[in-house]
Amino acid sequence: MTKREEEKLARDAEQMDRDSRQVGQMELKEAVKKGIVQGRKRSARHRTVYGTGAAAAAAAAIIALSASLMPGADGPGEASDRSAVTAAAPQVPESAKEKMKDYRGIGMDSKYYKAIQGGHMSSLNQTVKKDGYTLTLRGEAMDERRMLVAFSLKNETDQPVFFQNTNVDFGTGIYTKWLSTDMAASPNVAPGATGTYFSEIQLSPGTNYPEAATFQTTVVPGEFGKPVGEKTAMEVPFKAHPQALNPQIETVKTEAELVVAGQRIRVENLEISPIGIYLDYVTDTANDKRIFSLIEPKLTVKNKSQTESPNFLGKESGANTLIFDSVKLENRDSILFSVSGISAVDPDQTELIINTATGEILKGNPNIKAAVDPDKKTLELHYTVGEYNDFVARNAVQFNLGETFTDAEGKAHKLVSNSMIREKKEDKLVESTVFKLEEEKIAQPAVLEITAYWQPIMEPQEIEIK
Amino acid sequence: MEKAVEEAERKERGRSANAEEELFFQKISERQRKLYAIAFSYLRREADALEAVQEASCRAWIKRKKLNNPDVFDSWLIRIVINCCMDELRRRKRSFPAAEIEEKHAEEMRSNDRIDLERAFERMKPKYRHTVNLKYYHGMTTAEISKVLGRPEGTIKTWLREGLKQLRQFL
Repeated sequence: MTKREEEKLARDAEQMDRDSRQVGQMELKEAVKKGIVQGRKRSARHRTVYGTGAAAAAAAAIIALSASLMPGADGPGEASDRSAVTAAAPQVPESAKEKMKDYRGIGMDSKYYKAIQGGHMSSLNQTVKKDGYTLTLRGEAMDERRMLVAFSLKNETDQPVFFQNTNVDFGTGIYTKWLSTDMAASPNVAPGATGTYFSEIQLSPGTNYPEAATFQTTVVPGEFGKPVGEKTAMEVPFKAHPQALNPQIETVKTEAELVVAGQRIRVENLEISPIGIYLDYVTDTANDKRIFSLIEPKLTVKNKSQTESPNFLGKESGANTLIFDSVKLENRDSILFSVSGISAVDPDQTELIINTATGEILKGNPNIKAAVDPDKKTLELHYTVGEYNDFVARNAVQFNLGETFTDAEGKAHKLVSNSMIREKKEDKLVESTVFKLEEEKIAQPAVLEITAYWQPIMEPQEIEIK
Repeated sequence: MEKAVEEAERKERGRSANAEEELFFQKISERQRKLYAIAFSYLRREADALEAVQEASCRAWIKRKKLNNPDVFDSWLIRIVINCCMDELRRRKRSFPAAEIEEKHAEEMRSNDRIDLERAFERMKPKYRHTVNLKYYHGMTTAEISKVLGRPEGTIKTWLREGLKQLRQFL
């Protein structure tokens, strides 16, 4: 094994270790508990089949087994939780919800798993056929902020396909934005095969979403990243359920304020939906630093007997909203919100003055280095984030620049980012971004705005939201 | 009188069964994070890894009486979780014959290294894959791996060497 391969292996092992630590203690305990309950039931079945054959025992085992095979069946302790959920959402009957058993063997992110397992995804089963493809919209779950959709694509052509431009359309002027697609096994659907996928669509809170909606995607022949042939745009009209989860959404209005290194961050709203938790905050206009991110945000939800800390999923792009995974805990008595610190700088450190023709930096953070490739017309920026360690790799906010920059004559130019790589170089974490400089005439020097970078101020704070 | 004795015996049996289940739950719970990490290193998805831990707990409960030596509980449990993961990977292969790549969130970065490694691991012989995984991803010694895989230490060392050779070829 070469040093390079060994490093690759070590890096992947580190990443795997970090990722595997994200899972909650409660979820693990629940998996073990469910497994043992299931084991007890399976043992009972074996005893019944091979044992005495007593009619009563057989009947009991069959009942137990049937219960274990029921969609989303849980341990005995959770039966009451589930019925409470069902009762709170009368709009969608239990029979019209997606069931986990129909997704067996299909890997998916935990947000989709929890939406299906919790009985929050309405069944749609709307199918459209076109050009040898069968697109089935299987299910949907939506609250005010996000929509999760599950869909399958059957490929009856003779070459593999993938898809792009996935979205949900509610009509002209109604906001939706594709956020991600979870391709559990492969982005390519082989000839004759069926692939199941999940997409996350961003919605705009406060918008009155209608029921009439259209799921859109474009099927592209070829392998992911290597398109060949004619694309096929497909649309599946369906009836969405914009109100279905509303009875289960808890909104907590608050004015609780975090003060980190003298910077004020006010939490305004916490929305606990069955498919996620959203925390909206504002930064005080009187703050003397520009805040890029909150470090290690954590929610702790408690009731009389239990505590649950949902995973932090990320910050909503372009908004001061933190998204957490959903919680199972009901009758929530208290909710705490904490951070380990903030990433923030003085406003004058958000400016990068650079000669885009030579790469010379006239003003800016000393950890930023630039290089110009005149042939490719690219500007490469390398930002040394700091010592490479677990904490930095997990929390460092990504180096980012504004979409436009101003030249010496005050003219605005577009700044298009081609690629971004984050890598470990000699024990340091380095982020490299390549920008395409299309226009010939740029009066030097240019002023670029840094919209985010990692400058941690560690000062743990905790506030009570509820 | 007879009925009362029967009832008392039944209750006693129930109590000891509960106690056994509770003890077993405790024993697995103490190791749940390690089991999850191993499952996650094979499956790379939270939901699948949780399901593997659940299935492993189920199989372990069913087979618990076949474990004669309690000293090898850890390696026995790891072996079960690895088997669950391999079953799941086989099922995935049947469902999705194409290579495993994933598209991520627009803002997330794709790690080519990881995709390369996943592909390489998929092509490796399972015995080599297990050895390299347990050694490099979970920091286990050859002695510990030999207990999990039930082979002499010398064999594990050979598998490790061969595994790394295969990995280099596939990367």
